[in-house]
Amino acid sequence: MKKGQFLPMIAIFTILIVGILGYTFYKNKIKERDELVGERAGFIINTLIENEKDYFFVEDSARLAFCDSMEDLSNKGVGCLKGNYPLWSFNPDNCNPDNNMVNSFNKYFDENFRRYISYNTRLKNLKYTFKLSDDGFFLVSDPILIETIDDKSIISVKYDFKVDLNKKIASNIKDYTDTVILAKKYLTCINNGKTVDACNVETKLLGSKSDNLIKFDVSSIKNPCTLRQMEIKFVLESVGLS
Amino acid sequence: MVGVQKIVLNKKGQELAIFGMVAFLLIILTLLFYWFFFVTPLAVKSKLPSYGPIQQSITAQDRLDLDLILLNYLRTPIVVENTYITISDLARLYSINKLKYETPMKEETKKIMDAVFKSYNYKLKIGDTLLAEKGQFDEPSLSAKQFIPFQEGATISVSLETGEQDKSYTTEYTVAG
Repeated sequence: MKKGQFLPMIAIFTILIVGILGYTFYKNKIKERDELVGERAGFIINTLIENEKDYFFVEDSARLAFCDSMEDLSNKGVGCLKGNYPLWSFNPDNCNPDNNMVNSFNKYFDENFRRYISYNTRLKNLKYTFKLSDDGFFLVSDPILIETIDDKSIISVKYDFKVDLNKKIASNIKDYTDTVILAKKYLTCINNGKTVDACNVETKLLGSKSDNLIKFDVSSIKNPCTLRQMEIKFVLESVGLS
Repeated sequence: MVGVQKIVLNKKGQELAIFGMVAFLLIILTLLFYWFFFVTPLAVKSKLPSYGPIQQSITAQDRLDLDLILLNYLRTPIVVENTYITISDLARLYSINKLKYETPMKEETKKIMDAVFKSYNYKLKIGDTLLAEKGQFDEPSLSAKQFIPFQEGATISVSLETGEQDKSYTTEYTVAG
């Protein structure tokens, strides 16, 4: 290159590059933004704060609903009542705790959880699924959309909630399912012609006779949320009662 | 004209030097044009000069910290009546039976909050009842509030406020060796 040609070439390239930059601005419709630096970041952080608070509310509601559902199982059993006592029948019907214990718990949980989250306007229409299994209790919600709106733009954040109650409380209904097994044994004992006292000794379930029913108030368990004692109570009907 | 050229451009290399100066000026003009027509009009403006450009995101970050402190406090497991429950459970029990649960509620709250806020004053309330506080302040510098589910149709509000840093507080450092 000849001496002195460098600067003019720089000038031409500068004009070219600045022209391309200007065209890019124009093509991408980059507009003036009348906002503070950090304002958008502030909106996003505020949205995150709301998310964390909602998540806590969902988690706490799930925990409460779980405890309430255990109380409902104690008081209402699988939905069949004889007087003030839940009826457990081992016939193939709706009063059979074998088939219906988990279903009944799920029904009670759904009602209780829905009630608690309805106190929060942002969560009252939350869609969710939950599962009670041997591994514990899990709740997963559908994503919800939170929008932070300022004058000119909308910042949308989608998030969902996953609640694993296992680390929070003993999230199983083992005490109930174990009692169902003992109750079945008790009924077999009675139907074999043995007395209530003999079956009490055999199964270590303490029943008391009342007409053609046997009432049970199994040693209580503590509600982990309210610290109240819950008795697992139920009645068995037996044809062979003597 | 040729005479003028001969007088004005009578040094070797002058034409090229003038050409270079023009090119240099052209670069400056192009950059100034770009600056005034593209950069400054489309830049983010400050609406409130006294507020500062990044104050809002700093405040949001501090709020996030305080809200997280409050949520973690509510999630803290404690032992009451030989059972592990959370502070939020205890808050519910306290709301039902203030007499029985006032002492554990206040003690646990003070223990947790004093450990978190070593150099700041704070106030923690359930509803309108003051549970724990440290120091005195009239206007809080930051505040956080959380609602926890309670009984039929109700929620309990738990609020946390912090005041200015306690300037008399000194941090102790231990130097190894």
